Amino acid sequence: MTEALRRWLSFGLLLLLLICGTPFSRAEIANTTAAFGLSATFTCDEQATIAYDGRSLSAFDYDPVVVPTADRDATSTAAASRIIGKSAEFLAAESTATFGRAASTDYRATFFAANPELEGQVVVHHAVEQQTLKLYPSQVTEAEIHSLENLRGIPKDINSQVHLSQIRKEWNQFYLANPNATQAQLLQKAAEIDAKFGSQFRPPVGGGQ
Amino acid sequence: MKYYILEPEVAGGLGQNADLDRSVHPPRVTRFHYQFDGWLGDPLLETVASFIVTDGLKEKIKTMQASGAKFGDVEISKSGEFEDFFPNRGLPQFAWLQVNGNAGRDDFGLSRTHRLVVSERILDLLRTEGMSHCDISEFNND
Repeated sequence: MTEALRRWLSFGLLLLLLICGTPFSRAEIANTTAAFGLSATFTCDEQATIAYDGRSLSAFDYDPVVVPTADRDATSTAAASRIIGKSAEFLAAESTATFGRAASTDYRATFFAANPELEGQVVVHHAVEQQTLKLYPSQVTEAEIHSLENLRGIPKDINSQVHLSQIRKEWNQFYLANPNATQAQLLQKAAEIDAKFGSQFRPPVGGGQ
Repeated sequence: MKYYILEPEVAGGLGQNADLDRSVHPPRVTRFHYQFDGWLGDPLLETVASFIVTDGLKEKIKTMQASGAKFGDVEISKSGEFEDFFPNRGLPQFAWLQVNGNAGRDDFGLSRTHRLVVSERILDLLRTEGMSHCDISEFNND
């Protein structure tokens, strides 16, 4: 490497540090996250772990993140989602993916008891798939899989078939990539799918497109 | 010869009668029960790196003396979701496509990321047999 190239690289690195390297203070991060109902905890090396203060998020643990400079003046949900490294759609959908406990395995009866006006109009679909009982038996139970919170109403039309096929492919990719998925990861995947397709479900969930 | 990575239609998943060896990844299926939740009509279907084909396709693959796969029995069933969508729809006979070849060398193989890899001649056959909901990309055996 020539001396000139070494000098240019050193200058570039210095410039990069000046632009991006200044960390936020704890107060700045706390103030920013509080604006979105988020709370932050800090490690000794000033990295922030930010948790969304939603009803289902006790199951989610976020890795430490360094708050990017671009979010210094964050004032929107989109900015908040960047802070914790998740999409805005995911944040919006996150609380939709939960388990309850079903008293019966007759999931259709469970769904239509809660949504009687939809009987005959929708097909009942499991957000976290039934086969997770086979693939991750220590992470899910039948009572959770068939609980109302895990059920989605899908309109009976051909578009639904195409979307469900896409959803099954997404789950298949997830299974191949996650041999030891936790219940939290399963719910997170279901929330991502809700964010994509949930506006077409009946009742709608997750703010999907 | 060119080889291709396939991501076939996923029409359902493992049924309650399936047995798995979960000490390996992806789980090794020892008894295959494929439960249909829907079906867009492709003759090759997947769930978690296990595959089934229609009996018609199986016979054509055997006729080609394709390498890297053998066939076994699979139990087929329809879920409540399938019955609700297609109350009177029947299903053809299916066979378990057990892939045991080397990706990029045999007609059937699995990639390091557990994807199905097929030779060009098998891809041609699959297309002829009506496979249209499968994602396809070229396999690079580096």
